[in-house]
Amino acid sequence: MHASIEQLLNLRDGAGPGESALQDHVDKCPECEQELLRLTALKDELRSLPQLQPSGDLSADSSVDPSADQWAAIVRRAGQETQGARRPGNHYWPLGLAASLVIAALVALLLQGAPDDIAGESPVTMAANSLQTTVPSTAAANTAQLVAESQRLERLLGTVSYEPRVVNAGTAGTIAQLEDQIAWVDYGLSMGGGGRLSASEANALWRQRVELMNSLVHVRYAQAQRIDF
Amino acid sequence: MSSFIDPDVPEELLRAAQAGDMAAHEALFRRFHGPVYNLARRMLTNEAGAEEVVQDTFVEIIRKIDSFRSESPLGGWVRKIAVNFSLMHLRSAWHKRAVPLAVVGETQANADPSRAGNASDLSRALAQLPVKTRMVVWLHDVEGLTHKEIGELMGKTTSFSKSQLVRAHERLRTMLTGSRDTQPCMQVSNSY
Repeated sequence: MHASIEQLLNLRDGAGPGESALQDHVDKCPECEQELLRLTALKDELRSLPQLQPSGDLSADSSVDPSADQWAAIVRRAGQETQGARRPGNHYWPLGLAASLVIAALVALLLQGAPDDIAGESPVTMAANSLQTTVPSTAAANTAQLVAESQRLERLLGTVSYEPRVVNAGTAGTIAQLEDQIAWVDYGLSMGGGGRLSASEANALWRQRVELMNSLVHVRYAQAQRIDF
Repeated sequence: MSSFIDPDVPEELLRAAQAGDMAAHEALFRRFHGPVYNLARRMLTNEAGAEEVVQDTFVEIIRKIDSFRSESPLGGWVRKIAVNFSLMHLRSAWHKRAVPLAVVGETQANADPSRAGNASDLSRALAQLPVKTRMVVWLHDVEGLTHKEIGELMGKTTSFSKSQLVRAHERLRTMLTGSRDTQPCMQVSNSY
């Protein structure tokens, strides 16, 4: 019997349970030893891949440093943004609230167009069932519950991933807006790690993420529902 | 090895940047723009998106460097910002509809000609992985992040990161060796 890739990756990275027993097996099994060597070599090759660089304008004077233009653009943008443009974590709370109200209205409109009677066990149907039974009441949820709910909604979103070739502009705009807002919340959460966010700030961000994810799943569901026969 | 971490940035350069000295910021840009571009390009697989991530990242560094606490390496902080902007870019509707250029026409620095064939095959295979799978294998195997760190960055669980890494290596094996499975499918028991 041979070790799985997962077991060999754990052994390669020194992160798995029962490492010494697995190592004993690999020492005696040429095929597993070979596979472990291959995985180790692949990691080395990935780390040795050449560093990619912008191709730049091939017609341009080679003596001109393209990164100089890039730096100038960054300085310009930073200057503009310090004069009041959008900031993650500062201005997006009221923006998010306003957008959420608009989105909630759009979701309601989209769901009105969906048939009530859903037959079969298609992914869309299963997503609909999940929505009907577990839409959270987030007001009193603690952060751990919100994180778990957010992960559940991510999985649910995966079951309604169908994107029609022709998309209503309003729906597409709503989806893009929701995805952008989720991305900003994610940004706030990940940059606030290591104790930079208070417990209540983290809870508020996770609550907002769950609400946005919930809206996104509803919109995606409504979008897919229209073509799921 | 991750080019974000080594070598360290001098303390006085960091202090100057935190005091708003734009010459110091430019020095940080010169130090990190290569790694940031490379990370974004490997994740996004398209040049325009990677350049956008570079801009977003350094604008954010200028804005937020005064909040950086030097208990951890500056490179790790820069990498975190770059990963976040790459993720935001990947979520955007524009990226989802973009046709990835993969590694076609990429400009490579520090290429060793004797490894060029292998590196090219590996680059191509990497670019063909699903986005999240590619991100996990890059962040874990190249940048050296733990599964827990990757899970947190991506808003997922530790086990998501582990399963994506396994998936990445299964797919890379298929793409690089042309075989779906080079071994019998019997698995060692999980009692190890």
